[in-house]
Amino acid sequence: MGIILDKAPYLIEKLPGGGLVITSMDWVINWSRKSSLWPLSFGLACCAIEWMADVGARNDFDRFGVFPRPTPRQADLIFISGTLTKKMAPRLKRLYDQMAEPKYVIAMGSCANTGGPFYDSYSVVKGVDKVIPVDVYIAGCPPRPENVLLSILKLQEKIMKESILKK
Amino acid sequence: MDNLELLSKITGKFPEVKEFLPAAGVLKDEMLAVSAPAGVILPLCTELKNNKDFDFDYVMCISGVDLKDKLQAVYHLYSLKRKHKLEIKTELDAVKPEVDSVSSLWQGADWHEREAYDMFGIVFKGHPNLTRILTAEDFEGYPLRKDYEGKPDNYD
Repeated sequence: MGIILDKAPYLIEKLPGGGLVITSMDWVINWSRKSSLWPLSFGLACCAIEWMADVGARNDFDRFGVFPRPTPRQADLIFISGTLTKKMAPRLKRLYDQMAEPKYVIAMGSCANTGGPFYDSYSVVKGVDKVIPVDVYIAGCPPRPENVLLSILKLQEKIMKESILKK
Repeated sequence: MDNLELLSKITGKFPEVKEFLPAAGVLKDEMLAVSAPAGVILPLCTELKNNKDFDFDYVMCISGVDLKDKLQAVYHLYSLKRKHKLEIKTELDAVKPEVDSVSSLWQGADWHEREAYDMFGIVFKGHPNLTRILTAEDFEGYPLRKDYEGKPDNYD
């Protein structure tokens, strides 16, 4: 799959009508990626409790293909739900590195965005983007389930804009 | 055992132990607080645990206080059988705060002492594994001291 995605688009693009094939492939690949965003069951603090309720039956994120996985090898998405301490930061980096490409990051809540109320603490990372790249930030302390839902829809929009020609 | 009886029994055995605030007679239901020099902590705690009159079998908390010119270690003891409580405060040198570990008496004191070491740098002599417990292994300084100023790292 990797070789096809790496090499084939640049060969097809040169053929007559190749652009149409590329955009069709883009659509199919992006659609399949956005429709099965499997997040890592990973939580840091109180936002994690909120997140567990979010992926539960009432809000039912499964209808968007969001279905928690217990291992980073099977996950496409990681929610940073809670306060990231400096002690935890290398562990989070390791988890992120273990995830297979393509991988996406959603920073959930004030702590993950900026450090939140613990900004002046000696032990808290001032925003998870100091450690790993973030795709979508959600405001809130903790964010409402609707807000978390919106972050997934926004991420899906972002995924649909991707192309196999880039990178 | 009420506070006055507890106080008189302790001071009878350890004359260097003083009542922290003279309130034992007034505050009958409050916790008795005594101050003790650092050197007497281990024999005092051994007596408090092993003497069946006291029977302090549970250490609720061991914490630190930064009083700027000196540090303080505070022990909260409780007897599950006799239902009485005791608070022991001991003043330590601010430059070289050292006190004997009581983790050989109470297993629960182990992590309390590690936390006090982590946050205040109080050295508990005789502790089996006196390492940082909450902050990262390579953390520098003692963050709950008044004069602590953290250096910005790559996470700030």
